[in-house]
Amino acid sequence: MKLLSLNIINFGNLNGYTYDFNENIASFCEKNGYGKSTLVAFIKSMFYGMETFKKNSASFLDREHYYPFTGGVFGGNLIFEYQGHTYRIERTFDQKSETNDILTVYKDNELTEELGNVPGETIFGISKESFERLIIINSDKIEIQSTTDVSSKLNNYAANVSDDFDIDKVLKKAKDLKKVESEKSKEIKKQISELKTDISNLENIKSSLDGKYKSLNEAEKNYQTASRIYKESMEKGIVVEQWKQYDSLNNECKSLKERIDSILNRYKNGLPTIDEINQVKESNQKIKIDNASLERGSISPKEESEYNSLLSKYESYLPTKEEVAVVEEKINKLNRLNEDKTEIVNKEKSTEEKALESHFYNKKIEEEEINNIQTKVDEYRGLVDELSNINPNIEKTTKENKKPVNKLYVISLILFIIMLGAGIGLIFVNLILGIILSAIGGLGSIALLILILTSQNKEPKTIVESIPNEEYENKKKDIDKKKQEILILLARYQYVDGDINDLFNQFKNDANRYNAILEENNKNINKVNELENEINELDEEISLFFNKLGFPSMSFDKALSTLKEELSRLDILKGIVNNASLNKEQVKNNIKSEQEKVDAFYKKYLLDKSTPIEDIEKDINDLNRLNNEYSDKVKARDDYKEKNGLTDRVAFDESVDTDTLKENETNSYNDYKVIKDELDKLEEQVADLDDLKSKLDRLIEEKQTADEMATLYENVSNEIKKADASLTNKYVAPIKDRFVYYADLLEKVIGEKVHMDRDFKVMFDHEGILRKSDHLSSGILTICALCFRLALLDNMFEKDNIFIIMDDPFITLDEEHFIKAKALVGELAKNKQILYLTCHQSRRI
Amino acid sequence: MKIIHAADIHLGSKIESKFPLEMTLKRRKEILDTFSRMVSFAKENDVKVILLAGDVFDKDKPAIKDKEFFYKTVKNNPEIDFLYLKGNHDIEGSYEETSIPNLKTFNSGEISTYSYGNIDISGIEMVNENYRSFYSKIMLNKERINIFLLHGDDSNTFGLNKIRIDSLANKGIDYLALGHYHSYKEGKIDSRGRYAFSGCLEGRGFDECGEKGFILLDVDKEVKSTFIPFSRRTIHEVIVDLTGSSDLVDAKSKVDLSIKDIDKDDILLINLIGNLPVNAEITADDIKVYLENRFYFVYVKNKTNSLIRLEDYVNDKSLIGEFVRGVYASEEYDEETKQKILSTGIKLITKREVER
Repeated sequence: MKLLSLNIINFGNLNGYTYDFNENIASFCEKNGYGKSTLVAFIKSMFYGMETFKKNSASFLDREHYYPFTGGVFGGNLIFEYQGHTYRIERTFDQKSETNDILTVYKDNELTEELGNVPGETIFGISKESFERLIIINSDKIEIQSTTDVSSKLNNYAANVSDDFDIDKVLKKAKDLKKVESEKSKEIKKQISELKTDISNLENIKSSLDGKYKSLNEAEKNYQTASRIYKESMEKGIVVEQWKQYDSLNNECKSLKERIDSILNRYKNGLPTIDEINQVKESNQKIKIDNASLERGSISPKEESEYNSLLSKYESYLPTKEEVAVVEEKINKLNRLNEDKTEIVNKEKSTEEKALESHFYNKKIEEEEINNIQTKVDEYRGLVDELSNINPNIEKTTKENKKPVNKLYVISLILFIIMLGAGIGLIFVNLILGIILSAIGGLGSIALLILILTSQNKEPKTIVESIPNEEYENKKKDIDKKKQEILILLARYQYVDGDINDLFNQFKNDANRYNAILEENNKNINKVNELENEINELDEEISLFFNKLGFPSMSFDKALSTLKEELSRLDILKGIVNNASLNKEQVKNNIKSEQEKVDAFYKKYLLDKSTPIEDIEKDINDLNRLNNEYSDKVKARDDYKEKNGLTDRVAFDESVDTDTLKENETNSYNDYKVIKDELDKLEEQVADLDDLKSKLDRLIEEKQTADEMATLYENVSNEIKKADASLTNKYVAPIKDRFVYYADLLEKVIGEKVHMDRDFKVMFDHEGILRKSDHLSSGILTICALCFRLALLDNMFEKDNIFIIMDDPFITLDEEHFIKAKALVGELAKNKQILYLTCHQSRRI
Repeated sequence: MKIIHAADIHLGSKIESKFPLEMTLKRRKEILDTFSRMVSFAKENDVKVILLAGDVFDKDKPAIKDKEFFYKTVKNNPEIDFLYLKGNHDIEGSYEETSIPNLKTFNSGEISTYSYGNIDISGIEMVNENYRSFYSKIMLNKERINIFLLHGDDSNTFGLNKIRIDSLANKGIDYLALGHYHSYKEGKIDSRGRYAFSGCLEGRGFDECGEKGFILLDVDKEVKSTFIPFSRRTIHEVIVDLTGSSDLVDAKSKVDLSIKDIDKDDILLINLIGNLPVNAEITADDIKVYLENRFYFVYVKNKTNSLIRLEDYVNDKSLIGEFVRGVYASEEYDEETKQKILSTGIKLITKREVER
């Protein structure tokens, strides 16, 4: 490898600059600012290019540094010989971006791509940074204070790494990373173990759920059965009651029917009409009058007086028979209404009603009041539930304070120190005694110090104690307060002494029952009012009727009876008066004629003549009324049946007590609830199982990663160590050999025979004795370091004898050493191309 | 008549371990909520029957609260019949309500059939004792529309939770409603019938990616089926090849391109793959931070490799060259391990950040 020429078009402050490397040593001695560094940078950039300009970069990059102030094409070319061929690298650079740079490489004047995008890496096998460190030698880079630096820098020279690269730091970093991962793995392992225990516990709980689910299902079935039986019983009871009611209605119908049939049985040949009955009644009346006329012949003065009196009484208003019948009906109705009213008014209060009255003071309990207490009871129950979820006690963890240093230890320590001091003093007087005393004092002091330090380094104990849970206590207080509020409210109604839930339930049931009774009573009061209104209306109508007739005040029944009697008497007296003008025969004929009509009537209906027509009339009227009643009753009965959907009668055991069934239902529900509550709590614990398992999966994965990473860092560390050893081994012997070569040169120029051992330690032979390099001057050491570098380069670039660039390397040497170094460079230049750059005439070669 | 075919609801299920705890709890609620929404959908669309082809519950012993939720949903919708065939996850009961009129069940002893007009819906639960023999018990009236429920994967062999579709050919099945496989899938049984897996209603982890929902059947003289995507959110697995990306900007743009059509409410698993330059500094955390506020949840796995090739270091005279050659020459490691060692080692030597 040999540089042949370079041509700079524009690069920093150099433009149109050409240089031919004719000699093996190209020496540039120019003042600062001439462009020595630019020349070096140009060669470097031809091989390696330049980094893209970065706006925010802290460092001043080459592209920015060497961009020509005057503008124009930024770049040039470099011609060199490599592996028997002539290469020309042409490059132009963009002001900012590497991507806009143009690189062209010619091999023996033919375009070639065999050197790739970075020819420097292809040719030298090292990075741009290593090129700077290895090929370019300046005073800083070879100035070293001892040869130990030389060996430590071997890697820096050989490795493609930064200047401050330190293999030990890399290995330490790998070790630290491995430690972090190992500790993480260890910590996770601990967590996994704890987690597995928790999971195992929960799995045990979960497996115990089987039996509980079975019990729950059984309890649920029991509850459903008890509930069904109770409901069926209640439903059956209701149906049975409905059938009873139906039967009662039906019996009434039957009774009416029997009465109807009993009347109808008396009228085998059909029923006489009212007109027929009235005609018979009229005939009877006529017969009665005519017979009276026949018996008396003429009206007596007394009868006449009675007749006139009655005529006078009913002169202004004589009611017809129909009007009398209407009044009679009204009086009957009035009597019935009064009976109904009396029945309601006189109804006695039940024992239950009396008992409830004493609780509620005859007052309705408003819904709002019940709801208000209900809300408080619900709140109370909520608080009780919350309390059951709070632990009565909590665990408090505290750390024991560090114990102060035991005074006895301190005093003993002081005594031993005094003994040590005394022993040392005694040595000068009595050696043996002094040593013994010192030894006892010393050993005692050390032992006590260890004792004190150990006791102080002990971790304070963690104390776990169970203390009452404040939240639990507060909740209890809230419950007591709420309970007191409820008890005060219930006490108003005399519900005291007992479980709050039982008391409230009793209160609520009683209040609802009493409200229902009060409602029923109100209905009855309304009914009585309605009856009274109707009674008053009838009373008024009937009174008006009798007032119109001038009847004195008397009962309606009596007034009606008097009226009917007087009207009948008036009819008879009127007949006697009318018959007075007729002869007896005519009267008898009239009687006969009327009697025939009456007889025909009885014959027609096959009735016994002894049956009074009034009875028959009553039968017919009764029959009409009974028929109406019967048809109403039948309708009511059928409606009731339809309304309640009564189809089939159900078998019902009257001995079954629904209260007991209800109690069974409640008990079985409570049994079910106890198991369910217990299961809810267990399930709540088991619910965490999935999350714990997920966490376990995650931890196992994390542990695996940590283990893998720890192994990876271990492997990385081992491989770096191997690489380092290999690199060292690769270069040690050859470098040593080449160093001997340069040492021979050194001997020539400095008169000292320098040796290097396997660890690159430099020693020199002084009068037949090998001495450490420490005895060498710094100037000689610098020259040794240069030799070492050259030896390294020779080995790294064995096949291609690479050029070196010396950028004022000897600036710090004194004159004596510079002369020696100059001689050395002269020797070197015989076999190696050197670019020697200096800005000092005194350092010119 | 309209029928819904759903399966694998997995109420009370374990949720993906990579989700944070609060998200796990929320996801469980979402599964319950989606089941309720499906029932509401059924009500609104005049669906008469909901077929549940197994694994309504997730565990062997479902929690009472999950069972109560299910039973309450069924009881609150008496106009819909729920035909519930137990799967491998809910075959072992815990708390059971037995007397819900519109909850109709199947058993493993005999084939049970429920009829609706001209439609017969039959099914049998598969257990160790019957997984081979139940095929011969299927004798359907071929004059009617036959829907059959089973729970198991389609398979070429006989086995528990395995269904040989070919053994169900020519039995008169018009539609085979299946559960067990957690994604929608359908196929042909014979010239008459088709089979379908409805998949689950909600994905629960990164092994249940893609659209989830149920199948709506419209049955008249034939069975028409439509898959209805219905999940609250979808889980996606996205593979992003970062080969050639040298920096985070480039990587982000590739990620953006891969997720551009994904809804912000969805859950993403992003697998970064490809070979990166050895000096590329792209980590899973960088991508996660970049995406985490844009989606409901994002999990990023970095499976990229820094491909370090031996030929690039043959002439490298440095420690790195020595290191690369040494690792390549070693017989202790497989290729993947070698790449990991090389990538980590070079980063350490060049003092760059090492990603776990």
